[in-house]
Amino acid sequence: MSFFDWLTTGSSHGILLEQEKEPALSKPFLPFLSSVSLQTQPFSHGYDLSKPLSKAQLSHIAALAHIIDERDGKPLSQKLDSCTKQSIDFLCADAIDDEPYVSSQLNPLLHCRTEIVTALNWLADAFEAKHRFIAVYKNMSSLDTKIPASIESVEVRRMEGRYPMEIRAFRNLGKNTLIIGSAALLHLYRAVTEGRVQTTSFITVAGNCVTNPCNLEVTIGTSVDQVLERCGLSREPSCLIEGGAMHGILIQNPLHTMVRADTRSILAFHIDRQEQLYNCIGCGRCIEACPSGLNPHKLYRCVTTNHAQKAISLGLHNCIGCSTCSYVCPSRLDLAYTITKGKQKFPNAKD
Amino acid sequence: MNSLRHHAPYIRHPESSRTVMSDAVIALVPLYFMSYFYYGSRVLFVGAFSALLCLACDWACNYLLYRRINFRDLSALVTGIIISMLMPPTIDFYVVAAACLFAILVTKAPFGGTGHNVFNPAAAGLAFATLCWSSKMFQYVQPLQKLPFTIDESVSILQGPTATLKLGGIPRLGLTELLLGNFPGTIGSTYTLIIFACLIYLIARNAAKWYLTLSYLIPVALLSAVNHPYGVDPLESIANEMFAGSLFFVSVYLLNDPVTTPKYRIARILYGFSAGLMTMFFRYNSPFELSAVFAILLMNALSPAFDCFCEWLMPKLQTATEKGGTNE
Repeated sequence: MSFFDWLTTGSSHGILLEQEKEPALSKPFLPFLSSVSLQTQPFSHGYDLSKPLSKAQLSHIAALAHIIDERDGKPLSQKLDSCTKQSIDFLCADAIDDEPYVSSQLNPLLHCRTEIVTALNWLADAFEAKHRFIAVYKNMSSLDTKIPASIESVEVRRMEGRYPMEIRAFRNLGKNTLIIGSAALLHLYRAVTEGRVQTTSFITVAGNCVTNPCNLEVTIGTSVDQVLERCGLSREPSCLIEGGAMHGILIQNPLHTMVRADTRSILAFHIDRQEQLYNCIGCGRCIEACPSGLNPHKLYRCVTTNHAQKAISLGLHNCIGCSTCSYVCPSRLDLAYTITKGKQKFPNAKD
Repeated sequence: MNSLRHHAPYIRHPESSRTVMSDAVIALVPLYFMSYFYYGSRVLFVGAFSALLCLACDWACNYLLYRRINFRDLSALVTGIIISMLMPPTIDFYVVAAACLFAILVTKAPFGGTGHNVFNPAAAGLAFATLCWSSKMFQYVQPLQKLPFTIDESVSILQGPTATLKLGGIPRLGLTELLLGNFPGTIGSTYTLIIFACLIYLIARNAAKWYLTLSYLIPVALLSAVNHPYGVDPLESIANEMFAGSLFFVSVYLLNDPVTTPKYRIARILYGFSAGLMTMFFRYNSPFELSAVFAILLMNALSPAFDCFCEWLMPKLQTATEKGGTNE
């Protein structure tokens, strides 16, 4: 990064987070299946597997198997269909998992390497992609397992950068890029070879209240309560989160919240959060941390005082909602939450 | 159930406003040891008096203004310690009390308490005391003597080296004396080596910004090197100007006060640079020795303007670089 970039925006472009992926990452994922998964009848797609599969065939199989990409919650067949007309330069298996505790994409990749890479190769051959690689987050320390440099001659690219990485990782690859989550690739492999419908999703169960943090392959529709019971709670958690610790959603009722196809993790935390006692002391840490180069504390003030025009001119709608500013704030202000609210409250005039 | 109202993110950085302020306190306390070694126990009483008075005054103001009293907020303590550090060792307690009361009651509480003050409270309190008791504020004593609790005629009052500089003289202090603070000066602002160590601690803890301190010291060094008196080496002139008074202390502690500095990097660098220029201007043209404090106080008023300037400047700079990038 040049001196000029350092001067005008934050030097760090994000923050360093303790990843705390162990011990969940190294342990192979455990199946936690209900009768739905076990009794689902396999389908037969009737394609000859000795020949390479075409785009339409793969998309058809993905539609038959009801595969949902856990990256963005879209059906895989829809994603493949929308890319049939354009040429694909980069085909990428996403196993980034840049949020702390979460390893639900990386863990299947490490423990079902051949399956995922085979599925990636099918797709890459069908789409005639020029480059294919697997994206893995680089800034992970103290892992028990070693992440290989290549799996079956497919490059494992270590994506460098601080949190939030996943949103910014693929920006410079251009438009002709197809990114598919690694769990979706595993489901695609199973659908092609065994004719299995996607009835499960891969989730990480972790947090400082969980006795046995691990990755599970859970039947979709299992309640969060059952999942937590499976892993055990060492003490009563004060908050349960679906999704990552940085921008997950709070689970209000664990008994009636189900695991969905795009659920990546369930975290149980016990937080001794103090009440918000401090005012902003203007330390400027949020400006240094913001990956979009915004001024979160000024945006916060504009939103709370209803200065819509000023907030929009300061780039309110460039916020990517990564919660980095709230994380670093020494005054414990709810910056990210307020700014996201402000985005809804003051719609952009240009849109 | 109120504590269950969490929003993302659910994990927070362990740093809080309390740790930011306690870092400043940790970096200030070593100076008390040194001043105890030089001047005896009186300075400790002055320090404790001013620190506790500021804290109590802050709490009382919050109580009277129906704000929530936050006993974990240490910013008033930092203000109190800084005020006592920039007082001479022979200072009367009522001057300290007046400076503290002015700092909290006039510069901090009416603007909305911690985080809302426009001017640095410590700088404002010191400026007030300097204006009202200018003769008392510059009465220094020779170090390495035990001061009695009440100052009487037995204590010989001296002028500091900054006064000599101001009159156009040459202090002729050795480098060791300058670095150790072994010359007549204020309670806590002359021990350059210790302040430097504390500066490194503050930078490592991200409580001080190296570029801010550096951008302040550069114009000071340049101007004092150019304007060195006859018969003095430029380097010696730089050392005299920077380390003989309270300038280095101010550049570490007052300049890095998070509340009153601008928030953007360019703004901070501009702020530091102009504060340095202003300090030297005051050094040459004002009747008081405490020029750095006045310069900081003046620049505090301009720090929102620096921020606004940067908000205007930064999109233009960014589009300019993007154009340059496509040309390559």
